[in-house]
Amino acid sequence: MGDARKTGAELNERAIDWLVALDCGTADEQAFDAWRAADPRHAAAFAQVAATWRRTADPRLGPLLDQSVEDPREPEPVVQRTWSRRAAVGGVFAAVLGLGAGGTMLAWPARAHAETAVGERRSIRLPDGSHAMLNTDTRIAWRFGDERTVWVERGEVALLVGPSRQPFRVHSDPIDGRLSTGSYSLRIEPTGGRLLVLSGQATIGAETVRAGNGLFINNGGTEIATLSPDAITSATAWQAGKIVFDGMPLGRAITEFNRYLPDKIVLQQPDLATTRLGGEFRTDDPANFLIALRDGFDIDNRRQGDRILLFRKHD
Amino acid sequence: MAWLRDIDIWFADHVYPYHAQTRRYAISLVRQPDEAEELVQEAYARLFALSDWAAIANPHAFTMRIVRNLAIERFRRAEVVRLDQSAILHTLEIADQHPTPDVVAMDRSELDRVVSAMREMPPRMREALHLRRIEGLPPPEVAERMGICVSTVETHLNKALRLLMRTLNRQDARAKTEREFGWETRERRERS
Repeated sequence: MGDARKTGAELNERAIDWLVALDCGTADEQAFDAWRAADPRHAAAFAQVAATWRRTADPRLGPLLDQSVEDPREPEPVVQRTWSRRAAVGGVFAAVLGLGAGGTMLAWPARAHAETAVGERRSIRLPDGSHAMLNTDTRIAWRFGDERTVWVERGEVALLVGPSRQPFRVHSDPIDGRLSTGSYSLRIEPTGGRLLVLSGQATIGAETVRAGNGLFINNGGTEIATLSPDAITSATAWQAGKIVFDGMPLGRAITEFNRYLPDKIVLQQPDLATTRLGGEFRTDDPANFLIALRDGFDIDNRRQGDRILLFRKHD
Repeated sequence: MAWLRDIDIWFADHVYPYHAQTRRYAISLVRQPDEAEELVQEAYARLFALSDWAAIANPHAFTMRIVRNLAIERFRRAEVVRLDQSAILHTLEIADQHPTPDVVAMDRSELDRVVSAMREMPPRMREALHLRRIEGLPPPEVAERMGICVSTVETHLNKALRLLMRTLNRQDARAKTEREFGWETRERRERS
């Protein structure tokens, strides 16, 4: 009985070998006919495989699988960590282009989506091998067919565009453009957005933005500016889970930190907003930021419901 | 697809959609899942030894009857016959008056199983299967899209199909009665 069982499994595998080889045009059809005719059990095994194979082409599958893409799958810590570390040692992003294993592959031809919650960060491998890293509270969509198209619906995303003959286009509310092989960071803000070109080049309308430059859109005005090394470090620090303030006014720093926090920090005295501060903090842990404010700036904090209130210590 | 014969299509349309049921039926007769699987496989093989398969009015019921006859043969050969088994065999009637519908589409629960099996596949394997089967691209184009050679596509598809068959069969074995047919209800009544 056990033998018959084993034979059954072997037959099944044999039948799969035949079917796939036939499908790919690599089988010797005469040899196949001989195998099938040798035993009705062979023919039966093959028919079962063929019936299962047919199920994989059911027209209802495509839409169902598209829905499954919407399921938030767990992020890929391996990719994230590797990427973060490299980003931390100097933003050598292009070196990571070859990174293949471990990324989330969401290779459906229909528009697929991915998003992150507040405080979440996620790395996604796109169907062509390009990578997208989503910062907090971000949503992107993509479709890869004759063209590679990525929509950035909200938030901030780092794109590592891999080489391909197919053009890579990015669409977002303020910025639409075409990206060459390279590394980019795109952020959407309430009053505009910005695209940083770390390597490669971006074509935005009639403008070309080369490596080391950024396109900034604010209240309808467009500007292309060269990025200082510090500006690049602070603009890409989130990829390593960090937030860098280099003389930024407290008001903006808090806005920046709040992007990552489900419970928001609120400044009680508006005049504090202009206090300039520097430092590097972890986006997932505001405690050190709050301690630094208390110890360095005499700005204390108190929790009230889901808010963290900041106030001058000796008032 | 010259290699796909009429009998393969007939089998996929009229027999294989009931695979899970046929298996449950075999299990109800012989109790051992392994032995039941053998019965089902043997029954399928008998179908493929027929020359007039196209004339069978209700292929599903016909297959069930083969399974039942095979079980009876086994009981006769067995040294100890369990009473409840023989009782089932004697009281069982299979309604095969009604022909099966022309094509039985995969039902929703089976479809969901294929979806979840595909979702759990390794990404490259899933991509290859998706491009080949859902997008319908020829293997050389799948290879080009994925930046790999055709033989690697073949390997992906081969593994994908193995995984799929294994997963679906495992789930079949676990699945409880989803659709009750007259003969199954009758069987249960007799047994209780």
